[in-house]
Amino acid sequence: MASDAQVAAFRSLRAAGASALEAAEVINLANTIDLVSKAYLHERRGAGGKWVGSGPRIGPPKEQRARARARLIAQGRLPAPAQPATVQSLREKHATIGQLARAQEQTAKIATEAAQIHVQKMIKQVHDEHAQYVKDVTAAQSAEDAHKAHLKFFAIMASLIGGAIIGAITAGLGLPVVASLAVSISPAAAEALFEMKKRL
Amino acid sequence: MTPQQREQAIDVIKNRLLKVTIGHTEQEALEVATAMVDQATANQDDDGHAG
Repeated sequence: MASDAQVAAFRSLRAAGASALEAAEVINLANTIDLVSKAYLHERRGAGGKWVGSGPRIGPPKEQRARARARLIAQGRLPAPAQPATVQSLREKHATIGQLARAQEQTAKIATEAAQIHVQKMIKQVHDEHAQYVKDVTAAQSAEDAHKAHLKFFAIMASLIGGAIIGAITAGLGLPVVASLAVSISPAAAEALFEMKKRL
Repeated sequence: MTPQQREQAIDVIKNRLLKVTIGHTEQEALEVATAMVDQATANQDDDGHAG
């Protein structure tokens, strides 16, 4: 659009009788001049004054722009450029995040390895206890002896398997570790546990 | 151990029991798992651990 000054200038020319143009024509002419001048400068600005033009934007020399920028920053109309300290702290932040991620990965690896070793030990223990239970039940002289053997085995299994799983959950070791501990419940031990639950 | 942690422990054991055995219902597995977790908690408490 033409500026108020341009319109006023044409209006005053017309009022002075120096132009025979009608008011609407004056405004159209002013608008045309304004558009032409903008096109000449390759300047197009959209909403909020955002640059949307194509081609090289004609701006003031470097020093002028630097001064203008400094003035705008001083007036708070432009954000201050990132200071070296900010960049440094950002780098530090990213480095710390990286270190944490690596440490977490390492901890998870150690926890997984520890769980695997623990599971192997548990599987052996569960196997041994199951063998002992079979021996006890076979050797039981009475129903009471057999019942005692059931109770004993169930208590041991609960301590070994249940205790380890509860420990892993309360320690927040995560589902993979908890699930790997459950692996120590072998099919034979699971069958025995079902059987025992019926008899308890 | 919170009630949620207890439920989680029961669920893990129940799923494992169902995975390695055939012919048992989920209800049976749930009962066994619950009994095991309760027993384990009682054992831990007896040992002076916070269950």
